[in-house]
Parts: sequence; structure tokens; C-alpha cells
Amino acid sequence: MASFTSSSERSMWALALAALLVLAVAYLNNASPDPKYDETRNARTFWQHKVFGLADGIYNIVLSGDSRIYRGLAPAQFDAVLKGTKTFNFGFSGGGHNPLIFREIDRILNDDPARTHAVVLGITPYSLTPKAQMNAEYLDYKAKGPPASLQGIYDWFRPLSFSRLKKLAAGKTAKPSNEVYSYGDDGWVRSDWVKRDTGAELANYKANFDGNRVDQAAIDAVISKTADWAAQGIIVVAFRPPTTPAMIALENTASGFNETAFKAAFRAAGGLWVEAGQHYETYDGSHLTPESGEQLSKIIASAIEAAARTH
Amino acid sequence: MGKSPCRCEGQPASGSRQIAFCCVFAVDFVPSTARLAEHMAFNSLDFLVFIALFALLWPCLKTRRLTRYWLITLASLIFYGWWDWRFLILIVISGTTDFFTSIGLERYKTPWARKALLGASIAVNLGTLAIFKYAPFVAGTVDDALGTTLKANIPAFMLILPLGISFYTFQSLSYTIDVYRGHIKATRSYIHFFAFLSLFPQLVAGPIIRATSLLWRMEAPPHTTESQRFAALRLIVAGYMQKLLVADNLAIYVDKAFANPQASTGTLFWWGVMAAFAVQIYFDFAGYSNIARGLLKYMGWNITANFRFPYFSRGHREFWNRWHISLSHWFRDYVYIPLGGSHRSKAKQYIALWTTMLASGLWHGANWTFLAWGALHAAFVSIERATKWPQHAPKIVAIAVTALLTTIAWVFFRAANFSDAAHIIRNMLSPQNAAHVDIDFPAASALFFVAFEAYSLYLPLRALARSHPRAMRCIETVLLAAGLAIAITFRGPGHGFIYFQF
Repeated sequence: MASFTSSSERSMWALALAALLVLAVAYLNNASPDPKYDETRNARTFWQHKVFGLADGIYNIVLSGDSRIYRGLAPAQFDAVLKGTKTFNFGFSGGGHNPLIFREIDRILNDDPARTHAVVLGITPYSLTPKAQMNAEYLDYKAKGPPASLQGIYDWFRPLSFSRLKKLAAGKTAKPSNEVYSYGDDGWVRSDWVKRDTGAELANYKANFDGNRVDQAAIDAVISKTADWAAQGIIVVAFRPPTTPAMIALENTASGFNETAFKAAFRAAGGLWVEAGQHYETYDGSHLTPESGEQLSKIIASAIEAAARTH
Repeated sequence: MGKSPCRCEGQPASGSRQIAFCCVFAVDFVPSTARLAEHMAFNSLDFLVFIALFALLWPCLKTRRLTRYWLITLASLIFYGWWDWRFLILIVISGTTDFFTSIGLERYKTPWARKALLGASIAVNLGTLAIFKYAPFVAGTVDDALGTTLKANIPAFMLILPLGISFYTFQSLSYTIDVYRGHIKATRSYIHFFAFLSLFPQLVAGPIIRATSLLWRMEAPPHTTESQRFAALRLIVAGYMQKLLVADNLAIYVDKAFANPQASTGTLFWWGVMAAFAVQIYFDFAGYSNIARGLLKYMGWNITANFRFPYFSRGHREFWNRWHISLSHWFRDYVYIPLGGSHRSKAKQYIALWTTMLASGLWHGANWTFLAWGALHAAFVSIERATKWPQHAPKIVAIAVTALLTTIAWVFFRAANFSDAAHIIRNMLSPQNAAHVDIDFPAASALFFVAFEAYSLYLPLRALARSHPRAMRCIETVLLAAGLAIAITFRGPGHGFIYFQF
């Protein structure tokens, strides 16, 4: 100790002590369950895979759209109905239909003419608005870059929040979340709420359309790309994702979306419009429950199967 | 966080990460500041490995001049190239130009030749800045005014803002100007000059170090004592606490408010957000500067502080002598004084002042809002000069008024556009909204802030240091270790340094 206090390298002592403290806290942090963090990590891995992990030309069916698609269409159901296909859900939160996304779909879509290949577009009014065309979530993850090479170490040494420290100190475990998400490798997020509330999303959607109505340029881009895909022999399916009657009424009035005109233009471009029906359940007034999502997936897949037979 | 240097219209403002919220056609080419934050910023694991290796090599290689220069230069190129090696060419162009023009300035004595050489240096440095920082802004402005489509035809590479370009071009340029003025002798060693220019601790976000204060000091083998190395570590830890603990935790709330500013009303809410931003940007940048100073101190070179408690300024003239000192002194010496400074007529003094402040605004970002920020500060200083009000007001009032005005000006610095800025200022100044309070600031951040202040002041411990120096050395070591561990453990979510985008 005498040498320590007189001439030894205190910087080294301080760094060593800091390292020990950080290790100790990280060990305690990891030793205790942290469902909130697990959810964050799972989501991050899922989206990074969707943005960076997809190889070229490996999927026969690509599903595209916003959160009603990535939470509402189960690729496994498509593959079960169509047999031998490989389906991926390429939906993003607040995602729009535009050249950036179309380019990515073209990249991952298998163009082997011997197999069924199709693009499925979930046409929500929001997906045709200017805000949706900004592809905020896609670009956000693109900007963050691929998974860091030392991601595991970052995760182990993740920050400790003040509230978690209090819980750890008190020996409390985190309350289970009302929202239950399960992230699949196929791009589907199986999601549900423990306590469902079919009016929860109405206010958000109302605000979303404030100054952000359906844009004709976005519609034109979809129609043009549909004609392009159809000319290549790709089955292009579109449908309006089912939701609650209250939500549909809100969207019809607030978004300026003319579904009849869209359907006519889409069909004229060579697309197949599927009426999904309304016998579904949502957990938040916007997104389908897992069971309803699987049911819807089978309906869309059957429509593709029928189209493939006559294609 | 400011605005997106990618200049894409309608992109969301969500922190410094937004640097990469880029136009569709540029997205694959654009390296992001967020990536830097994850790879080689001071707050990254990669940097930890990098600096550990450097710290191992430095004591062995620092004694011989050439090996010292090579180590610094190579380490700095790796540090910058980790983000994107392609942009190293800009540092090389800038540095090579100034290296040779400075030698030319000493060789050729005729005034026209010297002016031509100086002009070449200014043209290359400011030209690089113009191409990479201002071309899309100018093109967009022309498009708006004349209905042309210049911006759409700008090559994708020009939509990228290379990290730290404003810092290293200014540093390189000031070297040539100082040689021109005879303030410093030009170096004949290319590697010596590049070791100075590319010095990694301050390469991407300053402080802007003048050649007069460091270039020739680098010639002598740097020597540090144990106490100096400990003091260096103390600076570094203080910087990390400022950045990771305070700035990054506050960023959560500021970014949330600015993600959709139009959605939030409320006088107290926006005063709260802007006060948080004022603290965030100070701790973010001062933290970076302290880490840079600490690293340089560890290497054996002391540089002056870049911040001196700016929010305790009595008036904005004083503020600019306490905030980002290396930049404000750069503008003073290379823009304001050459324009006449304070030695000409009143009118010319004001012209020099406004030109300098507007240039400073534009230096921070190519956007009209930054220009407005500079103009506001010019107005503050002009009024101060004309009325000398801070000298007449009680000290506490002068400090409070200066802090309030500075906070209002930050709105233009942080908002993505005039519409958002106007909305925020309208709310800040509307008493009818005063009752609307939905502030959600974390108690934790406030606690960290207080803890940091207590830690950095060491007030009760100073007395102990005098009476029990040995005990104090132990306590200091333990406190430093605890400070670093706290900064790492309670850090906010990974956030790039705000000033990287300038």
C-alpha cells in the first residue's frame, strides 16, 4: 500500500478496479431475468435479419406492407398450402409501397419460372400515404448497420437503468408485459395482447392521417410495378388487411383512400385482388390475433394456388 | 443532433443517427454516424480495443521522432478509416495542399506568389467543404427559388458529409495562414505534418488545435509523470461521465420530443425539453473535448480547455469565450480580425461581427436554421455591444438572461426546419399553454447530473488532500474507478456525438 500511495501507477489501479466493478455489475445484471431487454434484443435481431440478412433470390413468395402485414401474415401457412415454396414476410412498421421496397423484393424474389412466385401486397390506406413512403423503420435499421461483430459482448455489458437497479436491489422481478411478441425467422411477428383492447389504436390512426392522406403518386407506383411484375409472370396479389369495422370506417373517411378505384386500376395492371372478408379478431383494433393471421394467410395462399393453376 | 446532413426533405429528425436517414438513391452508399458510434467513437468497444493497443505501443515508440509520427498517423488513419476509408482521401488532399503551400510560402517571397499560394490553400479547403457540406444546400435553395432541378442531379457521393470535415479543414487551413503571417515555421516533414493534422483524439470533433500550439511541440519526446497520467485519466473519465451518463440519458427525452415536435404543445414542456437539450449538447461536446484532452495529456501534450462553464456567462460575448473556445477563437483570428475586428468604424465592426456569427452558424450545418441560430447570436452580441446591459444588470440576472436567450436560440440549432422551430418558440412564449405540463424527465438523469457535479468538484476532498495526501491518493483512485464504472454501467442508449456531423 505504501508504494501504491507514493509512486505506483494509479491509473492502472483505477482502470483495473473499474473493470472489476463493471464486470460485477454486468454479472448481476445478466444473472437476473430481464424480459424487457430480451424483447429489445429479439426485436433488434429480427429487424437486422430482415434488412441485412436476406440472400438474393431465395424466396418464392414475398409478402409486403406495413405492421398489419408483418404481424398479420404467417409465411408458414403459405408454404403449407402451396407446398415446396419458401415464403418471407417483408413487412415493416409504417412501411409503404415504393421503389426502394420494390427493389428489395426483386432482389430476394426467386425468379425460377418452374416454381410459383408471387408478391403479396397488403394495401392499407396508411401504406399509400407520404409518411409511409419515407420507409422510416427500414431506413432506420439500414442506417444502424448490420449486427456488430462484438454484439454479444455489447449485450452482456448492456446499460443498467436506474429502475432496474432498484428492482435488482429489492429482489423484484419484472412484471410480465401485456404485449406478447414472438419473432420468427420468416419475417412474421406473432403478436398478441394479454388484455385485448379493440379500440386502442383508433386515436393513433386518426392522428396518423392528419395532414397525411393517401398519395396518388404512391398508388401510381404500385400500379406501375404490378404491371411490371405481371409482365414477368409473377403473380401479384393485393388485399386490404382486415381489421375492426371502426378502424375501416376511420380509414375510409380520414385517409381519402378510394378502394374501388384502386382495385380497378390494380386488376387492370394484371394484379389479383383478394377480398379477405371480415371474420377476424384483432387485439388492439388494428392488428390481427395470431389465429386470425394464420386464417388470413391460408386464404391468400389459396388464392395464389388457384391463380398459379391457371397461370 | 441538429439536422440531417443528408439533406433529404421530409425525413424524420430523431437524433444524430438521422445522419443516415438518407435519400433512397443514396442509402446503400452512405456510411452512417450511427455506425461510427458502434465502431470507433470514443464510446465504443472498438475504440476501447484500439486505445488499449495504442497505449501499449505508445510508451515504446514515442521516444524516437519518426516512429512517434508514424504511430500517430497510422493509428489516426485506422481510427478514421474504421468509419469509411474512402474519405481518408479528403484529409490527404487537404493536408498535402497545406503542407506544400506552406513550404512555398517560405520559399517564395513576392507578395503575389504568397497570395496565390494562400489563395490555393483557401480554395482547396473551402472548396472541399463547399462540395461536401454546402453543395446540396445551395442547389436546394436555387431549386426553391428558380424551380430548377439541380439537387436531384447532384452525384450521390456529394450527399455524404464526411465526419469531422469542418474540423480538420479548419485546422489545416489555419496552419497555412499562420505560416503566411509568419506566426509559425513550416515543417519540411510530411509525416510530421500529418501526425499533427490527423491526431486521432481530436480529428473528428475537435478541439481545433492550432499548429502554433502543438506542431513544433511534437518534435520533442513527450514525457509524462505518473501524476500527469492520472490527471489525464481523470479528464477522460470526466468526459465519459458527461457524455454517457448525462448527455446520452437526456437524449432519450429530447429525441422523443423532436421526433414529432408539432404533436407537443405546452410552455413548460418545451422549456423543459430545450433546457434538457442545452444540458445535453453541452455535456455531449464538452465530454468529447475532455476525452480528447485527456488522451492528448496521456500522450504528453496539454491543450487548453474547450469549455469553461458557458452557461454561467454574463452576456453572449462572454458566452463565446466559454463555449467551443477553439472554434470561436478560430473565427476571431481568421475571420473577425481580418475583417477589421474592433478597430474600425462602428458600422464596420457590426458587419465583421455579423459576418463572423453567420459564418459560424453555417459552419455548424448547411441549413437556414443554423444561419438563423448564428444570426440570433449576432443580434444578442450586437445588442450587448450597443447597450452594455450585462455590465449594468446584477450578475445573477445577467447570467439568467443569457442562459434563457441561449436556450431559445438552441431551438433553431436542434429543430429540423423553421416550421418546427416556430412551433416550439410559439409554445415556449405562449402563457396560455403554461398549464399544459407533460414533462417526463427521469429523476435518474437529474441524480446523475448532481452526482457528476459533486464528483467533479471534489470540494470536501480538497481539504483532505492537503492534510492527508496519501489517503487522498487512495480515495481519488477509488473514486475515479467508481466514476468510470458508473459511466459505463448507467450509460444512456448508444448515441453518436452531436458534433460528429459538423
